[in-house]
Amino acid sequence: MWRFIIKRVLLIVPTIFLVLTLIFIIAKSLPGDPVLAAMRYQNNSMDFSSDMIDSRTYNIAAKNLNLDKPEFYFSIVPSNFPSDFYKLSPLQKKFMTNLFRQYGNAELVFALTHEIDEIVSEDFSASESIKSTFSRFIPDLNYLSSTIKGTLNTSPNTKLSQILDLIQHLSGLGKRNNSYLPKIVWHGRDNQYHTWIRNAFLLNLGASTTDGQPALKVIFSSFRWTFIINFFSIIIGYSLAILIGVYAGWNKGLFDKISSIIMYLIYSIPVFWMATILVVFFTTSEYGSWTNIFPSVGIWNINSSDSFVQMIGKNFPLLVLPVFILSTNLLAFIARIVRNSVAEEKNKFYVRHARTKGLSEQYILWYHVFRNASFPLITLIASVFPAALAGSLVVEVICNIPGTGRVLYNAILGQDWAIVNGIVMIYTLLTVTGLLISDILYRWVDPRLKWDGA
Amino acid sequence: MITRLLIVVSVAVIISCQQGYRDIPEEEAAYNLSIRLGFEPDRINPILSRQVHASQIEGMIFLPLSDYNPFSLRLEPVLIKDYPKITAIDPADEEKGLRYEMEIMEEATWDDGTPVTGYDYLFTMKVAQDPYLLNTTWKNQMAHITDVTVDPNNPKKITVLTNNKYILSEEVITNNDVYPEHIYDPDQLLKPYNFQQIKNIGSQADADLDSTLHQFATQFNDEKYSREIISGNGPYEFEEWIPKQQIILKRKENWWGTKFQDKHPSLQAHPASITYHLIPDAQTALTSLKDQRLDLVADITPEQFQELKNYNNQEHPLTLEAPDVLSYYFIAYNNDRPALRDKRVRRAISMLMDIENLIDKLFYGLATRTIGPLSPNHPAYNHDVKPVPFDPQGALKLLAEAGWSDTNHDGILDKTIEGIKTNLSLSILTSRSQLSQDVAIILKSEAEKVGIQMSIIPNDVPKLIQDTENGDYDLSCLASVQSIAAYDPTNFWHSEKAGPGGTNYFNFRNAEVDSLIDKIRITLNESERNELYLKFQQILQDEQPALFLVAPKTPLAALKKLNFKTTTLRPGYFENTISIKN
Repeated sequence: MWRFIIKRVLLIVPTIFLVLTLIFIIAKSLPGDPVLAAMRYQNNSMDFSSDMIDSRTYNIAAKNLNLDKPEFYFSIVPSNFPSDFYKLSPLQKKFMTNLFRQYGNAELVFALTHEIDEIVSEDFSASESIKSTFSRFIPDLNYLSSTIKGTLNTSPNTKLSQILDLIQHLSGLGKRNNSYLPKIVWHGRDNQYHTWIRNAFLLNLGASTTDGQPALKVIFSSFRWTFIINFFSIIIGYSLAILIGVYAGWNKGLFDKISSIIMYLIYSIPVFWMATILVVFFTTSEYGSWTNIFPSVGIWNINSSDSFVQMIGKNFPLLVLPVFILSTNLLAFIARIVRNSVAEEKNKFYVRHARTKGLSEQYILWYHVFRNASFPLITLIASVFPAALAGSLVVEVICNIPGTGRVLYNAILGQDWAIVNGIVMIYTLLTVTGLLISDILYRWVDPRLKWDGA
Repeated sequence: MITRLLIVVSVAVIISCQQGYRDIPEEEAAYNLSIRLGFEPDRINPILSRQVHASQIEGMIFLPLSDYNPFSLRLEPVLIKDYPKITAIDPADEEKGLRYEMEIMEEATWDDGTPVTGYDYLFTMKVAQDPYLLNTTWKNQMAHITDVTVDPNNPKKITVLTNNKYILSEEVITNNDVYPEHIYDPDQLLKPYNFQQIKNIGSQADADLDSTLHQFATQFNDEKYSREIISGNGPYEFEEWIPKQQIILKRKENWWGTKFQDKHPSLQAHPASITYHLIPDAQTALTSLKDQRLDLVADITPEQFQELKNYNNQEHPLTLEAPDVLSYYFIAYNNDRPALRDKRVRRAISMLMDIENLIDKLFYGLATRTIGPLSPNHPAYNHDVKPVPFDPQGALKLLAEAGWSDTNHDGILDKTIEGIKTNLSLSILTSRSQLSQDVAIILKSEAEKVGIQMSIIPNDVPKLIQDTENGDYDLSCLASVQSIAAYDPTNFWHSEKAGPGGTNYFNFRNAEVDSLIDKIRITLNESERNELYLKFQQILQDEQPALFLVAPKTPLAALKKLNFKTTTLRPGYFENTISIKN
């Protein structure tokens, strides 16, 4: 048995590795520059008329976000491009590749990019107007030279004259055949992917890009609330579902009919709708004093000096509604499965055989029938953890519980990938743990399955 | 057995809930105000924070030299005795730069009772120049400030020099929160350096200074200075921050501003404490308001606001308000697109948007039609400009004048441009928000009736921004901030900023507008500047580089017992001025 468990636990490692790789690829494929996005105001307004951002400021921001390194162990660039091409800002990269396509001569194009950047970042004698023009890195040599000439007419500047010479030299060369032969630039282990995988395995998820707090701290301080409401809802949901499902499937009759209707009804109601209806109608006396059944949603009785257990104690009544919503949804789903499974097992030959042996009905039901009917329940365990967390996302937002679901919701809105990635990792861990538990339970319940995996 | 068990569980749950409900604290004599926040602030640190919700709280803890009065909407002295004395550095040429002289009030003190001095202001300005900070927005805004000095004989007296004459200088110099030097730089790392040395760090190779700035920024960027050590000169002091749940501020016991409450609303301190509860869902916040857990809820949707009008609970009545806010919705036209270069085409598209209907259906009447980037509450808002009417027939006529007709009878207008027969087919970028897409759908349905083919492309906000900035769009459905004070239109509307990577992503080029903007930027006299704004708005209306839609209102609901005034400044109220009705 232990060999089986160790083997399965070891398989978790490559699974997580693949998920982490996938997360990295998705994060890198998203549109927009994450450095610029982090530098802008994050107030959900689409006012992005930010002033010019020079490369020095950009590079410091990139370093703060650990985005100043190459993305992978190697990169592929045209053979005459500089090896540290990755260090340029997206605007500079676009400028350089555009001019390279037009004029070839990567060395001159790179020199021009570098000179222009120096004016924007470091030349304090240059006018704001020329800096503003240069900071946009417009890949149009005619436009650039006319702008420089216009400036030089009014105020001479040696650096600008040098840039003008460079532009004239470059455009004088005319279009020539570009070398598109690729070269592979090896960056070694000091790259973003390597750092991401290493840090993730060391549980260092980095800092939230929204508020700078360690992502792990944010996730775990919220996870405890999610854990509490899910723990109670899974226990309550499963226990009641088993009782109702077994009773309905074994006895059939009026209880089965009524419970079936109620379960179908509950199951067909979306969680968000049920949560909203309960919050709107049953937490205030607006619709009559009898409707004020539940307290206001949220965690209200808090004090920073309280321990988590004290907070739970003080806020227990406030957790009833979210637990009720989550467990009701779970109950409806599982009760139907248990009911059908028990009803199917009830008519099997071994039940009749047990009766003829004189075993009591309770013994047959719980020791034989329920054991065989529990296979679908075990299958569900693998998905119940991530499903419960997904369900709690909606419930936490509507019931204002400061759990992982609400944190994930806000992180997605604010594009806070450190938090999103961390929570996705936790979901992955829970899913593979759920699968492991269901595999172990299968073998425990059904002796026909062997521990060597057969 | 099961039935009995279910009954026991249900009874236990209901009893537990009822006990929880009775646990509401009694109202205290000194009022503790509870407000809903839709988003958690990223930090409480005015230089580093990026979210509007952070500045709302920072405004209670930190005070600037001068601030916008939320009711008169004018920049008025707060920490300083009077308005800054402004003189030209070179009397012969004002445009070479100005000198701003100010004196901090004698009574102004920090949380610990130490006086606020010019050295604290100088420290704040030096911090803002540190290139290693997580947010360099202040540094960018202060690019034209060349020096800041404190009078050695009077540490309350400050002088600031600029290298040009600019309408936003006074705001940039005086409207930034001031930090206490002894709290935020206990080791006095920045003390040995003057403003100019730190500002010019990029152009000089000073390894010691560079290392000091790096060291200081590491310390200042640390979450400790944004979540634990938060100390200012405002009416409230930071009490505690329970992440993802609430932030509590407490009124200072010996608040120095008590004597100056009439000077500026920022100096008032009515509630004994202010608790900001983080409740992302507006509906949830409203139920808490009805249950008297909260006193005030802002940022509710117009639809929820309409529903609240039917709320009729005599026991806990509510006040409903919908002040204007400084934002506006618009549809940007890419003026570089061949079809959109002709202003008649742009105007024709604007004539296809039934804005009154839009206000009625999408905003439930809670929006004001706007004709440009200035707020309808701005003293220079041009009320004489007639908004483009909704007139599909007129639009069709204008398009015909511009040479667009359906020559091949396929239902789509066409025209030969540069020898190529081109269909009038446009795309409109939107975010994934319902409002943005609904606006696009309304325009598309009207456009198709007159023969303009229009496709809607919903995008995530980063992609929307990227495509709009790069000029990869025909029409783009956007929102922006409206100005209430001095407004510098350069970034959006000057030809210099047009083209790839430019902030004038409309690619709008107009010599007359350029010349007006150049004048606006240096006209410090408000009434003269307002005249220029009037002309500027008229030209924008004639040229239609964008379709200006509406300035929305921000609906809010509060308990009737609160005595408060709404304001156009976000979030629509000023919590330190709220009191209880007698």
